[in-house]
Amino acid sequence: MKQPPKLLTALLLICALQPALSGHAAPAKKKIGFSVYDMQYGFFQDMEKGTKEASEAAGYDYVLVDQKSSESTMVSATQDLIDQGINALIISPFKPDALGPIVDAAKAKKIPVVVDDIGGGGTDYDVIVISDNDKGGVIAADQIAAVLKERPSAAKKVASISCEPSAVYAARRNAGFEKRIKELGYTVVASLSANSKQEEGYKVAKDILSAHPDVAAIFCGNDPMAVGAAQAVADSGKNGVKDVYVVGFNGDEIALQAIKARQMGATIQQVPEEMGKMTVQLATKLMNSEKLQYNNAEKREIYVPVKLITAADLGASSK
Amino acid sequence: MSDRPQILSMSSSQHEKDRRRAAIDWDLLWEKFGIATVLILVWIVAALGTPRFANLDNLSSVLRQSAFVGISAIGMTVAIIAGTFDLSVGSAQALSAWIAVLVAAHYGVVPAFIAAVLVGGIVGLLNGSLVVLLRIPAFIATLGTMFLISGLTFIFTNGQTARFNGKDFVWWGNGQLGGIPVPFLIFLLCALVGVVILHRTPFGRYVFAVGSNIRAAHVAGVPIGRTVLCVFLTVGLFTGLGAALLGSRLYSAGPGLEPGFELNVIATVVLGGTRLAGGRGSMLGTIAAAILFATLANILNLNHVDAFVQRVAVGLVLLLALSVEGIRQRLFERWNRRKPPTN
Amino acid sequence: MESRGGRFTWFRPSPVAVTLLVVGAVFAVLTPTFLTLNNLLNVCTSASVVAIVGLGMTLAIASGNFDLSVGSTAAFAGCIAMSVVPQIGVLPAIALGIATGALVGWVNGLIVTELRVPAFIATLGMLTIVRGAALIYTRGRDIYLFGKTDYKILSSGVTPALLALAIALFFGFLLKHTRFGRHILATGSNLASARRVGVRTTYVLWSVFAIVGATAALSGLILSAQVLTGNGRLATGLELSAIAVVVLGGTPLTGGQASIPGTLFGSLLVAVINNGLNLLNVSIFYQNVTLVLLLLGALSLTSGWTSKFGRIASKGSVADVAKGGDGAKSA
Repeated sequence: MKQPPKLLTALLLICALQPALSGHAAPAKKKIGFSVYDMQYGFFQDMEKGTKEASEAAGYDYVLVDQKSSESTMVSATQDLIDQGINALIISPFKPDALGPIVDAAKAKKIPVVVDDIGGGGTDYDVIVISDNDKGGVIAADQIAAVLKERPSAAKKVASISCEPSAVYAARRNAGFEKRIKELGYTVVASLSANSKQEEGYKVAKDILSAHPDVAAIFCGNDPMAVGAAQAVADSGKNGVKDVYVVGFNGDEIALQAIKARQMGATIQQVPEEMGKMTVQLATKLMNSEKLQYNNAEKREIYVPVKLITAADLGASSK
Repeated sequence: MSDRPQILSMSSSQHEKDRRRAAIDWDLLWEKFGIATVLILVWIVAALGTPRFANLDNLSSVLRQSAFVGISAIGMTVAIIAGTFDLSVGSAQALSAWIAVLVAAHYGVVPAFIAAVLVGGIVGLLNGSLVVLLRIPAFIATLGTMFLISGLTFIFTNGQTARFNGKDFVWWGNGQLGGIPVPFLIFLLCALVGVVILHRTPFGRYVFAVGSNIRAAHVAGVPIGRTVLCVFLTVGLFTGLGAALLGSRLYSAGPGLEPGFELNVIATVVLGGTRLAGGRGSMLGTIAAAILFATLANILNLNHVDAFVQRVAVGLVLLLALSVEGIRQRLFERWNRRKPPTN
Repeated sequence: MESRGGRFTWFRPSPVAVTLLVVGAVFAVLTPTFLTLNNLLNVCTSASVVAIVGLGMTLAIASGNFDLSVGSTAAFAGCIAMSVVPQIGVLPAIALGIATGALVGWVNGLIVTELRVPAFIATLGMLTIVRGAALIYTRGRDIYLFGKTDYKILSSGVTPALLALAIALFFGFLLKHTRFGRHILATGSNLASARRVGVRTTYVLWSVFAIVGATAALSGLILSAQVLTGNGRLATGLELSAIAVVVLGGTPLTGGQASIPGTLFGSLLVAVINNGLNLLNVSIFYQNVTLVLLLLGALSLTSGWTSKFGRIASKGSVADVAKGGDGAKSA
């Protein structure tokens, strides 16, 4: 094995040259690092847009890494950010439980940590901006109950389609929904997962409609699945508003279009772009060592309300 | 067309003649040292071209990251040399890591590691039994095990991730000894163990034999069933160890930990020069390939390459690295065809 | 499934078919909805999506390779087709989508035959590349065609099932009655021998990959038609489903044989299991486990193809081993 010595020599060489290679003057601009859950989803694309625009408007350098829905990548890519000399870290974590090593590494370099949605994993972040998933599910339940009350002939049956099982924070949406809707006197005839995928939302909804042709409403843990379910309803000869009331979650463009086209009933809109902007403001305050105002000081949480969006709201607003 | 034999496999006679004629066996050299050489070149180019790559923190991070796939790849190298492979390492990793975190929280570090390795070993034995005793082809057996273990993990954990940040436990995945990340040191140690197993034990000889020509091995008296069983056990044991380190690194572990891990591991082994056909392989290549993948991800991030473009880049690098051999072969043939035929 | 290297089996009562009947019967008893026409149609549709790409995969496996990039190809083709429907209309868009898939397949073929990269790695690399390409093309956004219901012809009613059947018949005919089909099987059986007898294996393999790409594209088009959306996330994991149904159907991974009806039955079996568990409202946690147990159960019924280890390990004498021929090919 003659190779290891060569490798070692190369390593030593690089270390010796390191001062020359990575020398840099103290940066004039501050640098914000944003580590995002997965840029494949519209929700996070909007969040990233808000974060980037706010950072650049504030005159910061901005670096982005994509966790690609992997906690291992989350830790390694965010580590890459921290090693680049950022002044503040904003992270929307794929697995909040794995935030431990990240927060420790950031703290070691005195980098403030702002968590954007999903969860804080019980770690020592500086602040978390969070939309209330549980509350969102409750709002959806209330909306469905309100709509179905106007339809005395509708059966008191609803279905719940949840995201992939490992998305435990999104699972709170369905948990909140199911608890509330049962309180309101409805039966959850089906509670299945469509793995957060649109085409599976379609398939699962079709099966639900087969098994329970009189189901009156379907709540989905995210918008892609909801739009898929709405299509399944349409393909079964029914309408996603009048016959089977379909509700999604997120406020993705595709859902808003479906709602406007009267193919889907409603969605619970989060405001990822706003949240992105908010995190940059918070990061600025933290970099300037200002004190923050929390909604929940003990857990350092700042709540962002989620909003119910129906066709009526979209007729009025221009989006 | 018939007087110009196109060579697709290395065992055709024309190619053998070429090999004997050449003073240097380029194939063997490339197989054994190719990726390691590529790695060094990449590091030099990156150090010169990418800001902050040669930063000690960063290099340490790269080496650390390479260990998690790498340790499992050591076991997988043995499997692929034996002519088989294991698709269940991802799910086995999730389960083992979860057990490690749970045990560490209640019983301490050493029991945690032992438990994780045990769990990995049990999954390995399960795979081995399916393949040897029930005679199910490895692809199906390990694919089935993958879904089975993944499903069971979800059921055991009720979908929840386990967390533990005890200092003694997380040191293993996050700490350093003399500036070198602990997981990487363990990775090197595992590679050493792997080399010893392959080249200094009867088991290792059996592995090579089974991978090269299973019928000849059988005729020669190699205990095929036992060997294959132990191969899968090996994969499981290494995966379990890597899993404990990953759980330590992340301070947590749960179901759905790293989907696609198995394909990364197999790609690492093949990139390192070990052929899927079996019978030959390079542990050094596996080490270099693991570091290379981690380096690549790091360079892409440091250069702020767009997330979607990163996917394309990683796939391209994999294909390029593996095409080199094929291109070199074709060039060699073309060059040799121009010479007058010597018999 | 006995064979004489390179044969393609037709009507043989396969374990998959038996398992399918048994599982179907169980679900029919457990829930009255299962046997309704509407539900059976749903089952056929979702089975067809996997069957179509599975049929292409059958050819690939029969030729001694496989293609891990079919999921990404499906997504990419779906994105391309959806993005041009407004401009050029539904049928041309569908044709373009299929052509895209064939092109991706062609590239796979190039990498495997000309660059000599093993199919496993080549298609693994393409998996990430094509997925990345789809995401770059759509910039990560969704392409939606609300109201363009004419695109739905691909996914509505019995169309998917008819397409799957048509392709199955065509591929069956191809394998059994054409020279090209025999060449595919010969290539999969023993590459070197095939070349020696004059089979242009490069051309054969290249074509097979292009065909796989085309079938993957068609599956992707049907999926995106169902939801009238094209996006880069479509069909992740389709490749494993496709390979699973092929193997379930009895086509050995070692190549040289193909069971077209087997692939169809395999797709139906998986679709039935999925559908039945959904109808019974079984939690996702248990669905995976049940699926695997049922599949492993089906597998243990088969004795025709076994791993080379199993066969060798169970053989007693040298003579038996020698009689066994080239390991994987005979029962």
